Amino acid sequence: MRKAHCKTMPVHRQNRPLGGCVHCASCLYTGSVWAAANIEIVLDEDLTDDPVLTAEIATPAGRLKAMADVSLDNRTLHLIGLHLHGDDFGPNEFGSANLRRLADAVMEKLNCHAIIVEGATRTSGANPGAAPKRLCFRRRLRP
Amino acid sequence: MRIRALPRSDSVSGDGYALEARRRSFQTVTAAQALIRCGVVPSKAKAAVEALVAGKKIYLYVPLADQALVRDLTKAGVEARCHRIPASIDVAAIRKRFGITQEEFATRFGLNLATIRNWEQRRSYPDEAARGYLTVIATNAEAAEKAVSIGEELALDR
Repeated sequence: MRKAHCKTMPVHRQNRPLGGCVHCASCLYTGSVWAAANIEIVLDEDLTDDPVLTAEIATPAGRLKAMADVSLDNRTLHLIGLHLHGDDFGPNEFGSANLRRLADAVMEKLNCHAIIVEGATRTSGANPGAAPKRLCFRRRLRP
Repeated sequence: MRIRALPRSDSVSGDGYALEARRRSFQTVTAAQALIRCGVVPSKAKAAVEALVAGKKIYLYVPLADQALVRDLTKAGVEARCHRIPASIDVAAIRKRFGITQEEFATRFGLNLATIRNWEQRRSYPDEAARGYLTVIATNAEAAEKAVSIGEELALDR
């Protein structure tokens, strides 16, 4: 069973800074902050000017696919009706900690101050089928 | 950040599809990408997968439908069935399956006897609506017969 966060992680972190925990091979927790260089975003060009975009995001924890109605307003990225799932891992395995890391890396990459996610419907996790409240990720300053 | 061109279907014809999610947590983006690849506008593809998430069965016209579409959707956890009226239909073969005469066939299913003769002798060909009705007769004769017997109720008021 995969764990969201292995307690022995700090011991092993220095050996595998981005490759996950060596103590439990299936652990997705990386224990480190992701920088823009750690992720790669590939946007799909569909030859329309439709606001809905699909993209594949390579992260240290695995590959993700995303789809949303995207707009950028005053350096705030709005993702309306976001769908996000993994290619090589199942529901709930990415975890909220990795989601926060991903948001930080995306904000750094796109040089925006905040990401606002709203109107998405959960297909897994708590309350599948329900639309969670608006999520706002704000960029944190790094020392 | 890179931008890549989404591979496009090389099909030149469209088809209608009935789509239904096999399970609640299917791969929504993969399913939408399969639809976009086949010419569905992204916002329409997104609306379609959201309807599937809500547990609805949807009917969608896919402009550039190809063989890979059903395979890709199945892989994403969506069941797709093509809804297509056949381009041609063998009326005589359908009738002979029931073992009845042209007159009985016409009477049973509310069709014109001369029209049946013309179709069977290839003097004329059933149009798309007629082919659709003949498909119903071939696959569910009881439903077609029942529809004909109560069809008068659907007539326009004069």
